[in-house]
Amino acid sequence: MAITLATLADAITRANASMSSLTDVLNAADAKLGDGDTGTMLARLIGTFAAVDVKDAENLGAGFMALAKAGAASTGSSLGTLIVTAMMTAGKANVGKTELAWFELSGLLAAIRDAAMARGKAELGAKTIIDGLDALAASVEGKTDAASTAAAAERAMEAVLAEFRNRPSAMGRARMFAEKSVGLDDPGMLALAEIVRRLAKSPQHDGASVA
Amino acid sequence: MKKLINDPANYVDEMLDGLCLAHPGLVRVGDDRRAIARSTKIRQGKVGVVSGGGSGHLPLFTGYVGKGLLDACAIGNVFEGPTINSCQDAIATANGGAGVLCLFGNYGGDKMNFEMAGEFAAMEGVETRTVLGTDDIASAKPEESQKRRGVAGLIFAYKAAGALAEQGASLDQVAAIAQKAVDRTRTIGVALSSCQIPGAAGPNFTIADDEIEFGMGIHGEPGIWRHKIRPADELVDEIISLILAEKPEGASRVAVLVNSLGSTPFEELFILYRRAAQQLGTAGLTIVNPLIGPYVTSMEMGGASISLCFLDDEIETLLAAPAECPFWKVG
Repeated sequence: MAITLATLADAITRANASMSSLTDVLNAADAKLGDGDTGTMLARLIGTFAAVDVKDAENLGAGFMALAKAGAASTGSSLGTLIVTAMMTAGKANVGKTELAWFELSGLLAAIRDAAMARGKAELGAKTIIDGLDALAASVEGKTDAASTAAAAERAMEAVLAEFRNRPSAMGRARMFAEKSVGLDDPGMLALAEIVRRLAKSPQHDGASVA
Repeated sequence: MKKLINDPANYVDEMLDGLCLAHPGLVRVGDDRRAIARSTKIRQGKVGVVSGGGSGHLPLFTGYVGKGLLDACAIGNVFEGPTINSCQDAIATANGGAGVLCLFGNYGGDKMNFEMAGEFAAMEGVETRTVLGTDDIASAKPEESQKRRGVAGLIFAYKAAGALAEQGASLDQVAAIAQKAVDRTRTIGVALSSCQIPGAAGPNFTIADDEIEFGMGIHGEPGIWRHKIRPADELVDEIISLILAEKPEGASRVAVLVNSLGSTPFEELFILYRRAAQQLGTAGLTIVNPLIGPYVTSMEMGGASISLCFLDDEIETLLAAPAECPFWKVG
């Protein structure tokens, strides 16, 4: 089994469904030091992704690029733009491909991490979604099937939140409240972690049932 | 916090509709109509000047589209950067074949989105330059001035760049004057009360009725200190003192902007200006064409900012050149 357009479409559908319970959680996390709109923005962005007919794209790369294009019209927030950057990176990396083997996912996530760092002028360790991506990429390295990938990813998200929770933020608006950010989850990292957790728990994470 | 709005989700679009109806010289452009442009097409061969940013700051950013100022502006949701598409729309609309200057505040989302839009524009053969407003001296130390936020002083860069672009200067020249205006402008603001994003559960920040925050940013970013409110003269003295500590060598003339952050009335702005003028006079500086009023706001936030643009002959001439937009007319 590998990651296909059907896997991608299914993941987006489930991520979109998860936003009904996640929106308020993420807004509340963001409101502690920011303007409290991370959940609302993400719900709008993922809703936009869900409206894209990914399954009918020519190939995996085209599917990711269609998501990037739709996302670019949906949000102007820093986190939203990093997610659009992620989709563009995945699109470029998968031009003409119809599937991505599970063992290739770690490399793709690392490329997305690097692209997000370049776009956001951010460094690892600053307590952002980029640290979450880094942990995610490392956790799934060498995994060759959906089940082991999901289990490793879920564990990694738990661990990275715990690792960074008591550190000060060094990027974005939260860096201006560095001391106050100690003890709080970064909203972007939390969003990644919560969505990964929900996708990992799904019985359809191997993509087989939606292929 | 009470607001005269309909559905909060329609806040920005209904505001833009009203703005364009009231000022027929402005039109909404782009697929999602989240860019504002002049109703007349850009003159071929003229450098375009565009800006962009979140809503909630009128007259900034959208309100400065007009002759001798901006050609187009990308506008985002309240306190959220404009989308990449909106930035692309603004750049495309302002492209007269001589390149486009992207001049906006130093904020993460805005930078990323204009950067991506600039890459798309380059693929279509449109040359762009970027200059960031970094006038808020409370937001970082002088040795890290590139990290400073852009606030009210950005309008001096709009004016200088817009005027030079109207004269037919090259993209490099227009970018250079914008950068010079940014480099010679300093701002500090004080906040008395918060604003609230439409639809949000509470105010953007909290501050006691008898407190003031010195140096707070236009989205409620923390400032230098928060204490019990002090007399206006004491506040102005501290602001002017900090700004003059970074006065460029040889500067003897200044443009002054005393700006309301939203709900602070003209009366209080003039009280602030009175003291600022005294202090600048004492420092041997000559004030040129002071601006007093709401030029860059944060919806209903209470407070004010003072900006000084330290002039040289070139900037002073460009600030005096004719310009007209819904909120600022010169000449």
